[in-house]
Amino acid sequence: MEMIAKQFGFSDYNTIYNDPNNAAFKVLRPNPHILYPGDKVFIPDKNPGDDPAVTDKKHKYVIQDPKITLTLYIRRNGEPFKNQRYTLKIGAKSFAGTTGADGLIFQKDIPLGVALGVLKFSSLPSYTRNLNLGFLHPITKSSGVQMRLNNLGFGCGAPTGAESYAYTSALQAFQRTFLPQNVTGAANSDTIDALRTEYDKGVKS
Amino acid sequence: MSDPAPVSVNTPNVLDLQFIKVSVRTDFRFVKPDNSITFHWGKIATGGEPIKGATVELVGKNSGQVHDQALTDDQGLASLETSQLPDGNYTVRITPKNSRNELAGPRIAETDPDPLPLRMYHPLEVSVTLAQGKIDTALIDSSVKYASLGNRLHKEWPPATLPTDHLPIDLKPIWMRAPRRIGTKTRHTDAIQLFVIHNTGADSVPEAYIGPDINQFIVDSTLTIPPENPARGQIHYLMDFNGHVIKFMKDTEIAWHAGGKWHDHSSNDISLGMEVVHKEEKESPTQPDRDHVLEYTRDQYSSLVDFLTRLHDAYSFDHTQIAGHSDVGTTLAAPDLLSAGREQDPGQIFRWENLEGRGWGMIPSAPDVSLTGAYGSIFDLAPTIVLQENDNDGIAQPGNSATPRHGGPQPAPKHGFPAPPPTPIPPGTNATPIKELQDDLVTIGYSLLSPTVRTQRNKVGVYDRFTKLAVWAFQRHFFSGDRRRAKDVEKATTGKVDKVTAQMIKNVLAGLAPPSP
Repeated sequence: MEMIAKQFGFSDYNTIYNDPNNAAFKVLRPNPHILYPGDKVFIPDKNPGDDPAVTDKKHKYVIQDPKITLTLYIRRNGEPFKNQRYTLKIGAKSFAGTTGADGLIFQKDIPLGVALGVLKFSSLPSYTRNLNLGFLHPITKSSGVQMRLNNLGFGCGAPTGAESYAYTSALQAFQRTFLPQNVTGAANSDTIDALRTEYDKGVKS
Repeated sequence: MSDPAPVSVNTPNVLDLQFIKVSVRTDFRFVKPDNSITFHWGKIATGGEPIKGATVELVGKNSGQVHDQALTDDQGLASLETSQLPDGNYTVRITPKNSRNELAGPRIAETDPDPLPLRMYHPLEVSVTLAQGKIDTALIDSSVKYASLGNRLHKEWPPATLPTDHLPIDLKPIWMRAPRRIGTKTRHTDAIQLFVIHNTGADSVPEAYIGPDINQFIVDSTLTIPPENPARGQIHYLMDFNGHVIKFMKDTEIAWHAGGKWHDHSSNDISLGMEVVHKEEKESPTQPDRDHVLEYTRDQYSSLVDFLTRLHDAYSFDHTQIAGHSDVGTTLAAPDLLSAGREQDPGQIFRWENLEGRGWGMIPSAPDVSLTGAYGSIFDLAPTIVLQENDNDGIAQPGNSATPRHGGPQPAPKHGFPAPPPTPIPPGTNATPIKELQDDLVTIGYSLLSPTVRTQRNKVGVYDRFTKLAVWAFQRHFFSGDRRRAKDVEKATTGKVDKVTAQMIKNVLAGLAPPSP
């Protein structure tokens, strides 16, 4: 949604998301940050600023860039990848830091509208992973489940959304860990709830 | 190397990066498959040897897609990322520096430029199944002799609980550069006419160091060794219990491995040598059941046949010219048959029949050839006679004026009966069985040249110490394995020629030169 807002010249995605014409869409996508290819949103007319400024005087305008953040819990083979120095390059901006005790990377003010992030750890052996920012699909879509399983280490191959042996066995592996009473290999509601708790930390999408 | 991770902004994400660790080392232990014997390579026993800088790749079994690759570090460790990979079949491909798609043999090192690398390896493929990015099963093809799963650093493989993130690989070199002796001579491949089999020997079971002999093949391999240093042995090849062969020197380099002579040539000059890993043989005539402990392994025999075939493809030496170290040692000046300096390997446990059955080595004629007329028909005239040391054909020559004597010293007359004649050969027939025996031994290849005057044959027709040594070596070779049991075990290696030995000598001769049809 941030990307869409930027594309259409809105400084705040909420202008689009909260437009009355998008009420049904808000129900479908309770999280404005996680959309799905093919989603249709209404783009309202831009409301030209009505600025009662006196002429012949200098006025200072601050263009409000919307603030977006990136939150990543990094693990390595299931264990928090803690106290690791990293660099994160997004567009022209570079961030550096150290992961927290829970492997957390929390980066404020990442640039808007840049899709590629490059995450690097300098620890031996050094490791680089590309991130597709804003590409995570909603959890209600099979492809969104597959992306989350992949990111959690339950590899299921390319997240096409299609049924496959790899998808089923990744679901089973996830269920063995988090729902030992429910190892069905099916993406049922208990499994989606567990996945939301584990991956999205309970945030709806 | 994984695909980009799709993540959301302004909401949390979890990235669990999945890795497996591959450890690539050489475990320099030699373990008999039934675990009855474990030898350490004395010089480099502790912890084995990490293989550094090897390329390790994780490849999709069906797709052939390389999912990740890494180089092994100083510990021989490499991490491969398995994030996002679906469960299924993959290949871990290990390609060390200086890899060759060949096994040890004539195609290794011969044409490589100096300096030759310290080690060369055959690349390895391990089939693995991944489950949740971890290793569920791992398998090396059973035909692969140069590698196995698990090594001394990681004895837990296969782990009790699967899956695991760790794949320990024991990869043996196919080449280990030997120290170069100053003045090492080289030769044309045409000079390679003989293959000599040794065994490494080592004394105590179940765990022992082979050495110091085995250390000599590689110790200080960056150094050159002065030629007068007798403590440094050399060898071209070494074979592990499972049949894996390591090469140490070029075939065109003359190795100091055997000494002695064969067909009156310096055996080193004309031969390639192989050490077969084996316990030192302590023959136990009263306990032949112990043989199974000492038996060479089936893999060693089958690998020997494969290896000889590779050699023969390259050098075309006569397929009969396969000898034991004991066969070529008859001119060495050790005082006694079983003294410490006498070469005894590969010993009577070694089953030459297993090579002969595949067409390699000196294959005795079967059925027996006729002994009529052989050795003056002495074994027809006196079937129990035993030709032995100090027997003499009485051939007049400098230093020999003895009268003919065959069958050893005669017993003193008893009860007034006269002693039997000193030789059963009828007077006037001029038969010379000792000379014929010596000629036969020399035709087979045993050398009767004097160890002190190396160009001179010992006395003709006199059963001297060197004739005895050649007979002894012949018996070690041809009364080995099952043929040893067929003969009286205690009398197998006497250095004396009884009728059975005489029959075998004639059979071997007939096998070497089959009569033309």
